[in-house]
Amino acid sequence: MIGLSFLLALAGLAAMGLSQTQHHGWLFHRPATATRSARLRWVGLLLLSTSLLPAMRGWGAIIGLVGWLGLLSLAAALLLLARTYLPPPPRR
Amino acid sequence: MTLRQTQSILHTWSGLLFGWILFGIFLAGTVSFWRDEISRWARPELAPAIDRSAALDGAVRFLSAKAPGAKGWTIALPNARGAGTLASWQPQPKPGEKPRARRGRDNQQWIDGQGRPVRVRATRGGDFFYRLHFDLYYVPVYWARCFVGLCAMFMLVAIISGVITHKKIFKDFFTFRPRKGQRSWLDGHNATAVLALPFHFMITFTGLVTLMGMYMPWGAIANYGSMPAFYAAQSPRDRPIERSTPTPVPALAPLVAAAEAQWGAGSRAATIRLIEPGDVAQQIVILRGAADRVAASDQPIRFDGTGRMAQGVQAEGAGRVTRDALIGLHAGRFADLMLRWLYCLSSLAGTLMVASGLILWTVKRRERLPDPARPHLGFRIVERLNIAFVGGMPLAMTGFLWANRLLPLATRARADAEVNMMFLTWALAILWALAAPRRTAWTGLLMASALSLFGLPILDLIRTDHGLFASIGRGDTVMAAINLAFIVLALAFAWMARTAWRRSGAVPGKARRVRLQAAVAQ
Repeated sequence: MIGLSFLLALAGLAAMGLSQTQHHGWLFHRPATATRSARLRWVGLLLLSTSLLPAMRGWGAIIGLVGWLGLLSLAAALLLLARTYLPPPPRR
Repeated sequence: MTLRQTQSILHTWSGLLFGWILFGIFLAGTVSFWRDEISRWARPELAPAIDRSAALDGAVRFLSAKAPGAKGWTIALPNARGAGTLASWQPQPKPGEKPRARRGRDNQQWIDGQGRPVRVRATRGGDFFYRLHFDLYYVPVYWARCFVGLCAMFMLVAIISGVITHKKIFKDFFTFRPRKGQRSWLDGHNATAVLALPFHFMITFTGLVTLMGMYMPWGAIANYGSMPAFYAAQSPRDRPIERSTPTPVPALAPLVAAAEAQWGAGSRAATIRLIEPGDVAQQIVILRGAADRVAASDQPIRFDGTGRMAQGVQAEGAGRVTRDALIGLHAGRFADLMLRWLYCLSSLAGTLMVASGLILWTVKRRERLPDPARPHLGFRIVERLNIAFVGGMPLAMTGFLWANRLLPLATRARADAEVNMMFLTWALAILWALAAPRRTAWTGLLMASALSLFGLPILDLIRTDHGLFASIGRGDTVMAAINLAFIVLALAFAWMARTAWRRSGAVPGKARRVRLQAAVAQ
């Protein structure tokens, strides 16, 4: 359950990051259109909110909220490291 | 001046003035999430406790033989992360003596998982770092806590003013630009701050709450008349008992089971106190452990000498539960292994946030110095204090760990000697930080920490039977994990030492000017 929460948070934060021009360009080698950017932001927000549920199931409602915030920090830190140190994917 | 500018100034100077102590508080607090594990490492004589009722029986057997007519016995059971049961006793006060005067470390004995007394080296283990986190050392506890509270208050100021100052929190959320000097330091400072912001805010605020009765006693005084009266109302004192007829101490295991049944599923007794044990009027108080819920309080349950429950769990008011929840959130005693790691990593981010903020102060100003080779006094003081704290304190902490392994077991006041060794190491590190050139000073301390950390598992491997491989073979995961953690930390410090050596070579201001001139000339 906690692993699921982490993956959802990771995906959600990644989508929200990709809604930003500089990160979208890094991964896809082209700027995001306004629609795509908005869509990514909403999908990200949705995934992020959903990720709270499995954390609360796994840890219980109260501790789940505490743990979920910790998972968010960890997921965000991993994305930041990946964005900084992974080479961008090759152009297709 | 705009709001952002004023907040920026506030952030810079409150962060700088309190930053060195805050770094120490953060670092000691971070390792305190592993308080029980560090204590386990520091007392390798104790194997993980296995049989709780045997340990309980053993403790009672020992105390009955050692201190039969004592005023009180205390039996501290290990939690799931610890090992060994601590049996201590409080002798009857001599006429005219204050009742609490003779509580000391002399009157205690470790009992192993099978109930046998074990000779254990005198050490404060993880408790030392835990206390250091808010009591500091060599200073009266009251003033230390006042000072730590002041620092925490300014931490809160720095967090809020930092958020206002930071222009692009969302835009820069995933941005880190390495190898770009000041830009990288600012990115790093922002990332460690923003990514764990909920944690930083929570831990600073709840940290203030832990000692709120001391910082803001007026509410309690207004309602109870005085703080002692307030504390007495919160946890009633034991009524004095006149000893008369000797009576055996009842079996404790059933009482523990009864207490745990009343607290509820998953609860676990932490401490058992016996008041005038072995007398017909004896009382037994069982206190609840903190590992199974956020709002942790002792919830004492009282039994009389025949083992009958005399007083069950008392109702707790909403204010008290709220306070207990906030304190519980701070200490994280409820955290399972996964959550404990999240606590530890977030707290590590906080430590790095403070350190990078301190270093950023110098990085930002170095290039603007009239002559970077000869900075003014204020700059030099900050620069050296940064090295002394950020570089020196981790090394000093490893000094404590080495003292734990190397000091002879018969050393007088051994537990205090370990602590003194830590501060002696720190004093040497500070001398080095003041004397050596900047680049050598940083690299030297970081490298020394790396070597020191790397040496610890090697020492245990060679000299003891609880080294890394033996611990893995025995299935002692805590001992093995700590040895591995030392190695990982050693590698991290070695990497930092290497980076410090490579990147603070020439005076950056000058180097950059040369590069710029070359670029212009092309």
